[in-house]
Amino acid sequence: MIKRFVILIVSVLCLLSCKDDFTPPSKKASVVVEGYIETNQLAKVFLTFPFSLDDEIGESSYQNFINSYAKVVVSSETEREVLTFKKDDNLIPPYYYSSSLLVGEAGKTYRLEVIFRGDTITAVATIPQNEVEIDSIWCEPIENDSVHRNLYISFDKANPQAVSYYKFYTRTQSQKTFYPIKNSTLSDETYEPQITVGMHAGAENVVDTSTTSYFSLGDTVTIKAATIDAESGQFWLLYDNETEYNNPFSNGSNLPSNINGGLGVWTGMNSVRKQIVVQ
Amino acid sequence: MGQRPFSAIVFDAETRKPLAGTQVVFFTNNDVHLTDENGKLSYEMKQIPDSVSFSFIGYKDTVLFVSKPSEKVVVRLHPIAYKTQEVVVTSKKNDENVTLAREEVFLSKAELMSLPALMGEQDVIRSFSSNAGVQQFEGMQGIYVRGGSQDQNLIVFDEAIVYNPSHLLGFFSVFNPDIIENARLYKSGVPAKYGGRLSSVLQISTQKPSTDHVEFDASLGLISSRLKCNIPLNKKIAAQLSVRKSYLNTLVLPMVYTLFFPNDDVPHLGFSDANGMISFDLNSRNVLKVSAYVGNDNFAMTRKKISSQDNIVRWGNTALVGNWLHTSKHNFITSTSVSYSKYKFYFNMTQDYYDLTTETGIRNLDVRSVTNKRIANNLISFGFENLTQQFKLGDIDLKIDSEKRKIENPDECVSNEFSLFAEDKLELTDRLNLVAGLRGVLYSKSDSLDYWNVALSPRLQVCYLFSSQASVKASIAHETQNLHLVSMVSSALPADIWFPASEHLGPERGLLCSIGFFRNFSDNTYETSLGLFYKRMNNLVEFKNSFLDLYTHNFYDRITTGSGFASGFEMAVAKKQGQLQWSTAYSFSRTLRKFAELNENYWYPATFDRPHDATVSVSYTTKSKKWQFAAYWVLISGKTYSELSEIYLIAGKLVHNYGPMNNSRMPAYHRLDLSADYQWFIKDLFDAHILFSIYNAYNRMNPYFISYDATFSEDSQTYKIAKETTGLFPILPSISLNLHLL
Repeated sequence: MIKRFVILIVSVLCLLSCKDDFTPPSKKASVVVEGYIETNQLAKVFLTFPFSLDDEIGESSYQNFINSYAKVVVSSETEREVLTFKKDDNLIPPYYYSSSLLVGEAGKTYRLEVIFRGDTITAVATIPQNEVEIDSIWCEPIENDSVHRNLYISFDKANPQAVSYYKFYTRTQSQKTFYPIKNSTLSDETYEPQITVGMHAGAENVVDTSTTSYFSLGDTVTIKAATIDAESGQFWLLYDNETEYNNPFSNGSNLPSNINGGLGVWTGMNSVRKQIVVQ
Repeated sequence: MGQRPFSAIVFDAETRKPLAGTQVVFFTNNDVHLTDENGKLSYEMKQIPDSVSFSFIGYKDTVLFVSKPSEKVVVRLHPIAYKTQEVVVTSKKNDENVTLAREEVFLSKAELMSLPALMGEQDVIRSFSSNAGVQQFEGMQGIYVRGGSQDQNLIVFDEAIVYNPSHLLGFFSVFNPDIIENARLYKSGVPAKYGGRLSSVLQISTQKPSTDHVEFDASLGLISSRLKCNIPLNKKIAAQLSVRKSYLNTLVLPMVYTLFFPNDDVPHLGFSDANGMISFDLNSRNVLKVSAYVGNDNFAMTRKKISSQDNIVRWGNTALVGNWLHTSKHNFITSTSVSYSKYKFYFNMTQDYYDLTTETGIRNLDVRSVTNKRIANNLISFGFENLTQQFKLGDIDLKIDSEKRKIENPDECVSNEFSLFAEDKLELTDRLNLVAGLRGVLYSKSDSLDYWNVALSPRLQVCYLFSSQASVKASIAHETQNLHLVSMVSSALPADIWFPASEHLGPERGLLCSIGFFRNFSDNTYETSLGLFYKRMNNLVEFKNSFLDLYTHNFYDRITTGSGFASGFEMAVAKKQGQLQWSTAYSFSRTLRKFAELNENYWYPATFDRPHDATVSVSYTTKSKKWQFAAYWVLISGKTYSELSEIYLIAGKLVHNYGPMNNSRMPAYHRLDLSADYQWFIKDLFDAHILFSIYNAYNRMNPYFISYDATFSEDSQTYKIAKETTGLFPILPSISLNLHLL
């Protein structure tokens, strides 16, 4: 009896001790995509390599992680263009791929292909049909602060029949590009029907700790408000959750990328811009 | 003739209880006297020197030679040694581990008190965790039995449900050893009177206050102190009160950190608790007991290394229980209890721009009645239970960069479980006995839209005896758990949210099987066991992304469900008698989970999946019984975590990319504890013990959690990611003086 029991235990032990092959293979991605197809704007794709934990990360080292060897193609049902590699020191990172002719149109679906070292990475995004119709923009004073103002916009849900996702950016006269505001992504799931959003200026880069959330009196601020496709909307919401304030409760789960074979996001945006002088 | 007063006090050397009615014989004139109800005797001796004998049925006689007047003696009578072995009087038979159908671990008061005392006291949960298949992790609350999570254990303290049995993050348990009568852990084959949890039942019973004599126990130590007194109010009513308080931060922790970890922040840990009970012996057939418990914990930790992180955690249990034990004329024994218990949890964390506060809790009103009756070879139990639980999921108050936010969780909700149960413990033949039970549960959540469910939980245990010292036992049960617990596993601290099954998330269900072979040797001196278990669980819960998901407003959208299983094997060998006693246990088990929305629907190890678990404990008592030395060593596989594999840049910010979920493991946990206990008597007043102990004797800073922190270099204007490992309890020496009034 004892022998039989020991044999049983040893058998079960052997089964339990099998190689730990129940978890998915480690996904060390070779390409990180940050791409945008925006209404009336040229397609723009940043391609980078991921950093390892030993790397030093900062503006000075970004160029070491730029992927400049890929072929990047954006296509819709009617158009197709191979993007060209460009440089703009105002952007982070400063190198990107851009279309020369192809611009985004509302309601159209765009396919992104990145061909790198024989692998093809793909993604699809649709620019939402409905845009943000901003009703009003206004400034509000800040308690005990006479030189800064809070900036707000209000608008109705872009599509009353469905959940829409939004992304907001600002640019002052001294800035050369748009920067996402703090918590720049919004889902209108719980809003009915009017939405008010504070335009709290976001950080300009990863090492920028000085940026205030407010705008100064006399600033000319351009607001870019965009509806974005649902899939990338989910990505950007979780991105904000993880990165905006270094969420200490991030639980080790990864962002839901819409890039097949890589990391990152390919976003379709229907954007509008409005300007205000802060008073 | 001069005065020759003589006084003596006699008590049981094992239980330390006074022995009333001990026969005391003075040899010279054959004068015979009996000790009083407190075990005391005062006598004017006729002659000095003289020999005096002390005898009591069931105990070894002791003879003293009295050589001087006014002598006060303390006499410890040892239980009689039949043949060549001592018989220790306990409420279980020595071969119960073999002969009982149920796989239960029983711990009597005497056994508990004979265990090594760390930090000045014996701990019931630490004691159980030395059994195969039972794990207790430093820094994690509760116990983990056979691959089940912490919430899958029902912990019953005098019939009150305890949701968090830990003080000081598991360093002490909430059960004060001074008042424990016995404890039982059912690893499988849970009695039908209990249910609703997928893993195990831990049942702790406290001592009924004695109506015979005043009892007083005190313990004064470097880490904690406690006090207990038992007061008979009259011949039928007695009261008992005990209090405990720790002050780890007063001396020991600052000293240890100064010596060994001068650059680290000293965590603040503290607890206090109190127990009280009044018993009424109404008559020979009715006993009424009312007991209460209140306990609170405080934990604070500042981690300057991690972006000036501050954590404050407070939790506490409260319980009030009334119990009526009635024996009918036809020998139906009915225990009816009404209990109210409450668990509250407060969590505050500040880090960088974040300031987060949440308060969660649960309270319940439980009415349980169990009737037992022996009919021929059957021991039949039946009864009912009605458990009403009120949950507070707690809103999350958040301040981000001074901007206030609130993440609203569902309002307080109430659930109700009404159960009927019956069980038969049957001796079919001399060799075969079984326990069959059934528990039917009607569950409803009263504040939701008609959510209810009915569950039947059958259970069967069979024991076949090859001989009086060898048996095989098998158990199978199906359980339904209408209670969920999600943990903020990502955070450094244990922060848990209890919530009920509802229309959003149904109950957890599990199939539990085990088989074991038990063999004792040398007339039950050595106990051995080998066992296998398998547990299949459905509808388990985890947070989808993060406890703090700023953009998912519905609590239930932040939760995801999946299934899992646990299986493994256990072996244990123990020598339970003699001066040198030892035990060793080893288990190998896996606990895996599969959630459609986590880890790409691949299996992954649970956070508490710790395959290897080995314990060794040794104790040696000197012949004089004055010294007891003990050592305890534990080795457990490290905790799982998701390893950060790379970082990438999106929109100018850094995003973490983790490897497969929980696919990495921290270094193994191992620890050695040592203790020495010296016993002596202070005149005839006190049985005194001085306890020396060292927790974590070789000062291994076992990893408690791993975090990734970005450090910024002003010179190069770059970030670098550093992996930080944080431990919790370093070496902790302690001295305590325990006094027991004789």
